Amino acid sequence: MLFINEAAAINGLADTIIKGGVSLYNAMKYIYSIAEDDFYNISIKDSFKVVLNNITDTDCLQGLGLHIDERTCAEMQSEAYNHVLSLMVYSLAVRIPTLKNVKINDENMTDDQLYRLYNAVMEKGAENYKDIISETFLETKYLVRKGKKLQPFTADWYKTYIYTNVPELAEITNKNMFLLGFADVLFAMFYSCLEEEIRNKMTEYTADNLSEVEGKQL
Amino acid sequence: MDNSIVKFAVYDNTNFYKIELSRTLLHFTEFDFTYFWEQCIEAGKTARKTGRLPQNIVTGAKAAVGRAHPYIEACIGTDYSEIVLDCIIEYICHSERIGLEELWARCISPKNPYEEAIFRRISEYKANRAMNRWTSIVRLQEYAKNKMTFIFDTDDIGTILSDDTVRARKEYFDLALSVAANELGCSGNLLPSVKLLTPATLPNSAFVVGKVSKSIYRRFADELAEGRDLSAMEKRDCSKIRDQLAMEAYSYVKNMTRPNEIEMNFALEAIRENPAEIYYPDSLKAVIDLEFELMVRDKIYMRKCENCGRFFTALDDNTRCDRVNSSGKTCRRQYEELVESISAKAGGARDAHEAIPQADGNLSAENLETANITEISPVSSLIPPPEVREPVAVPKETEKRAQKLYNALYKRVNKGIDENEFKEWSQYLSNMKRNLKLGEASLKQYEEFLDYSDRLCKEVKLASKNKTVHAPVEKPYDMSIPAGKNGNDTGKTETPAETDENETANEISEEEFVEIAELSEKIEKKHAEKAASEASPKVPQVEGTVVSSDNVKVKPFTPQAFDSLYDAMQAGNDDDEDGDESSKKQSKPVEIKKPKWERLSREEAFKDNDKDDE
Repeated sequence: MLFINEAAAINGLADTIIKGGVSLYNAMKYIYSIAEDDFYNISIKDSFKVVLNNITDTDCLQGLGLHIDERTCAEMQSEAYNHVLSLMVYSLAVRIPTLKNVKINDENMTDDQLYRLYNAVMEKGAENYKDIISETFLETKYLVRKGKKLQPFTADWYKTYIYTNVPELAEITNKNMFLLGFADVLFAMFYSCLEEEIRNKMTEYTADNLSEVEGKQL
Repeated sequence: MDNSIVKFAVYDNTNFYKIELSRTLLHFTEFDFTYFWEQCIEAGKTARKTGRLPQNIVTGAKAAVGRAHPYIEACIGTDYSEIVLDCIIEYICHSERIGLEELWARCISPKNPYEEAIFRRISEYKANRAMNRWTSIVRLQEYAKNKMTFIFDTDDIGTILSDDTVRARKEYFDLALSVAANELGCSGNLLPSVKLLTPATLPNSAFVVGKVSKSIYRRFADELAEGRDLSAMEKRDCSKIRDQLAMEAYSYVKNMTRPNEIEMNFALEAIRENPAEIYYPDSLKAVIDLEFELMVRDKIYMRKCENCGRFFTALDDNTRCDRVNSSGKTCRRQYEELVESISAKAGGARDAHEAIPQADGNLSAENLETANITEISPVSSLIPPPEVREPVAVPKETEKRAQKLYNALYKRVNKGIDENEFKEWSQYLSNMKRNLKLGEASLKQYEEFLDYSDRLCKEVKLASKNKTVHAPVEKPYDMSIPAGKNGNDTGKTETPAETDENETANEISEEEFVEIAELSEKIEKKHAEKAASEASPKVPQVEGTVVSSDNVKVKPFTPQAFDSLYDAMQAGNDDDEDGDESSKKQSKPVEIKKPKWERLSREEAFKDNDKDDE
């Protein structure tokens, strides 16, 4: 794909993916805080709407009056849970080869461009901690090249990690069950919206007004 | 302490606020929120352009709404801190005909702080963390008005309600609300309520009685430092374990002995400053209900003014209020003057009635033909013809000029011109326009007022640039009492010329008056001839015949007899509007009504007089 400024485009797309990962990570924390005080006050549907309309806004749920603090998210304040952030970004990074299917002006991203994008994301802190995520970049690339369908983006790895590494969240409590149930739905929907966001970004970077886009993104 | 004043405190505020029984309520029910509303719209328009709410306008608007009720003033930094935003949200929804959900969805990805603030506020509504305080105030104002009417309004004018009736009505009203809430599944403890506390038992008493609290804390600081932290209980429902919590706190001070005399005296001085009882309402409705309750308890009732129809505090048996109306006098004073005037005129009218048969002896057609009209002049002087006034056409340029002046001054409210001064000025302007339409003011007077306004505007602009209050522009006339229809003795708008430039003004008003008088005479003659020809060709004009404007019908004069003071007053109104020049100058400014007389046949008209003669 021909970008007007390829380096800037790769950097911008990597930034979008990183922000997406952080946004998903924070969304889980905000949702967890709902179960503390506002279970009957805040509509979970509204929470979905807000998160999915602000994919790259990492603190969008503050607008609903939610706050992450020691009291509402005490169980998420552990070192073990902090690794979820790098895992979330990694889970998105390994799916970068699917961007090959995105065509803009009858062009798609080359393998080299995709690989550089993957590296840019990995350099910013993505990590497959304890190899929790079974998918890899190469595996996804192979499946895309063969035209095979990928497994849907689910919260399975998240739940596995919680059960094995974060005992505070693995305990059967009202709050924890609410969190895991929410994760199942949110992950799938979030990924779908992030794909759309990245597609929009790619369109922007191939447009003539790249200089403006650069100014915003970098 | 004055029984009609009670004090209350609110959450998160260490000050005490006053409620003046009945006065606070009346003030709230009659409060005009127009200025606040305009400021909010202005703030919204600015925010749409700049992306954030202009803090200076927001602060001004909040100060304005705080004046409506002491409770709003007390909570302006807490519960009512977002009232401007609430008003803007309401305005957007109303003007664009959209619901809150749609507005929320529009702002779901906010592009600027303004949209973010709207989104955040609506989210608070949705999560029951807040409500639209602006709409709440409007609804509560209506609630207070309705409750006042329900309790204090009477079907018959002048009826004095008994204490039991007032209490029963109030209880019935409150009970109706409770029944409705109960049927809707809303338990009583969710509804607004008021606690009666003392300064020491207030939730924030440690800060309210700060000095004494500090000295107490010093005595028990060591024990309390090791105490169990109960702050986690704040978020939980502890309604069932209140005693347990209280006793846990008490356990740290249970060995307390009385302090030494010096410390006790210090506490005495501090506590003496505070009121013995403090009400602690949890909402505006609670304060309104409290005021009603205390009014009923202390027998402070309201009554509807017979003149202006507004409620007032009934301190005695008077049925008219002490509000200054458009005449520049209070309704009570106006009525008293009217009664005095009517009494005097009624005496004159009776004299005249007695004079008519003495002059003519027999009211036959022949006698009527030859009757000396001058003999009945004292009576006719009581019922002069109504003034005929033509609306004054205002040129478009003058209208534009007035509009420009209004805009210029409106922009500089609180930036060079005081808000009250602006209100006074705009009130005068609207009165002037109305009087022009009624033909009670001349174009020249209007232009003189605009000239004055020009000078004022220049001063205000200058002051606005220098960020000071404008130097007082010499007012060529008194604007303290907004002129209105019959707003002064001559029934015309008081203008610059009429106050300071007395001579010129008097010439103008006299000329106008002469014109009107001549016109009235012509109409009088015309109708008298017409009426006489219709009634009987032989009777040119009946003695005591009163002829006025086109629609007024003719009847022979019958002396006025009054069954009651009210009747006398009503009759007096008619007298005033028809008074001659001298009486007009002294007349009371009352509403002008055309007399509703019916045409009677000659037989019908003189039947009673004939009987009397027999």
